[in-house]
Amino acid sequence: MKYFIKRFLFCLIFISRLSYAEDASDWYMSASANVNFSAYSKAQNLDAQTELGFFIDADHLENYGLSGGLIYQNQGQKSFEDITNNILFLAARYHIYPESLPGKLSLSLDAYRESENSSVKTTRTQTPGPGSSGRPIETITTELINDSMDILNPTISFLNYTKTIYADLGYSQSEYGSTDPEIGELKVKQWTPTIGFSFNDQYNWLQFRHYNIELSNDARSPGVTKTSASEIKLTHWLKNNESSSFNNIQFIMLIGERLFAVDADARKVYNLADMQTSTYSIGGNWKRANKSEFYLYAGLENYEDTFSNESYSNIFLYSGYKIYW
Amino acid sequence: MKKILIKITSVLMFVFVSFSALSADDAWMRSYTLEAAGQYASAAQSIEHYLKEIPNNEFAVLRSAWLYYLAENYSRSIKYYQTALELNKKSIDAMLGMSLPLMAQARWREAASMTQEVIKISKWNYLAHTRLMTCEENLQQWETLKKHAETLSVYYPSDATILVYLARAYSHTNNNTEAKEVYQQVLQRYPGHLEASKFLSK
Repeated sequence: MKYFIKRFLFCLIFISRLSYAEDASDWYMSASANVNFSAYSKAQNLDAQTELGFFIDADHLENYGLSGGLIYQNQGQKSFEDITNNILFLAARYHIYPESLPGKLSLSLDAYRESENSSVKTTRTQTPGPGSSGRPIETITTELINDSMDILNPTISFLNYTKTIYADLGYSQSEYGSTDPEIGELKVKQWTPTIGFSFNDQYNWLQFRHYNIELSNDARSPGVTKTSASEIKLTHWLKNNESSSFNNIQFIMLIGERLFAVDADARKVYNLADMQTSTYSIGGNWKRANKSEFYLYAGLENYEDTFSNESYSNIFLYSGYKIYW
Repeated sequence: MKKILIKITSVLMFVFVSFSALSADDAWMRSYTLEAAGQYASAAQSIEHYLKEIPNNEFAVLRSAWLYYLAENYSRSIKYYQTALELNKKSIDAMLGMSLPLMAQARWREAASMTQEVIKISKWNYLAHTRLMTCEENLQQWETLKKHAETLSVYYPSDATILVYLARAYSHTNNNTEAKEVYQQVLQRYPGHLEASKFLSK
């Protein structure tokens, strides 16, 4: 924990020093803190989850930017002690304005690292049933193990100058290392093509993102090496002439199957080995123009335990505050 | 023989120089004619060969930048304005010119930075200040815009544009009474101004 806090503080100091640079007025800074509370229903082992995120972003005009952050996860468990993870987040982005395109191209690279990732190892064992014709008895056991997590998430995106059309192609490679030979290393490749556009005089924005995820082995999710899901986001900006006001409302729906996903927009890593089958959420943000913003989302996520095939759900409340300077 | 050779050389030199001058004049003329006809890219191309011969011609660089801006090739326009600034770091023409394609690309921070460079050289430059106000509005820096427009309206008291920005800033900072007063002043300077009339009829 101390190690991560040190690294996070180093990033924080490095990025915040940019605002004291010679061309300080050309650096635009923001810092955000968010919290996510989840309560599970019908989950066999999972209890409440808390996730905290702290981020600092620095952008040099509209040319390039750097970000750093720390994500703290606490996953309550019914059978044993809570799982705690501290994920270090680093990101860089660079914007290009090609002559041949009517908009800007952005190249970004997000990285997540957790060297002492904790997770649950689930083992399914079969023992012969009683008598010669007895059906085998299946036993599912769980234990807490340590592994590592490294994620690289490069994205290329396009946004036209009038900000009415958006497209991106994201690729994410997640590596979950393990010292346990029964589980072994897991590599997850994720492709996320996205399109978005505005309508209703730019008061509405509709975005579609498809998740195509491939797993190198099914040791942590029996029988699953490929999943796909689609996400729809609808954002409506309110017609408001005041600088401090309720700014927008957003609906998000995800359908399909998603496992070990990386959500670049939310800077969220889904590192539970359970299949996410759907998500519905609604939220909005309150903005003080160019000063700060507060956001609040509530939603429902449905999962399927990949070992027991039992379904469970998770109701979450996500809130955050961001300041600009 | 020597005299004849000198005379022939002089005549040839005169013809060459005259032809070159005529050719350059033609290029400029063609460029202005095409610009007037709205053929901005062709207008820029007509002086391109001239630029190839004399790449450090500041005026040709500035004119190319302007024409590519009109042709909506904003990235090329910015490159030419950057070249113009490399040739003359004090060029207000280049700085103000470059703010236009930057604003067209919604690069409001960069455009604001460019106009602030002009203001460092020419403190109350009208174009620089009005373009900076456009950037402040798009960056939703309402408090900054309010103070900026308040100060500018002292220096340009008869200007309706500055008052419109001031009224917008008042409106976005919940100062509706002040916004109404300023929009009324706008109507005195610009009778029938749509935005002012609409706001006052609320």
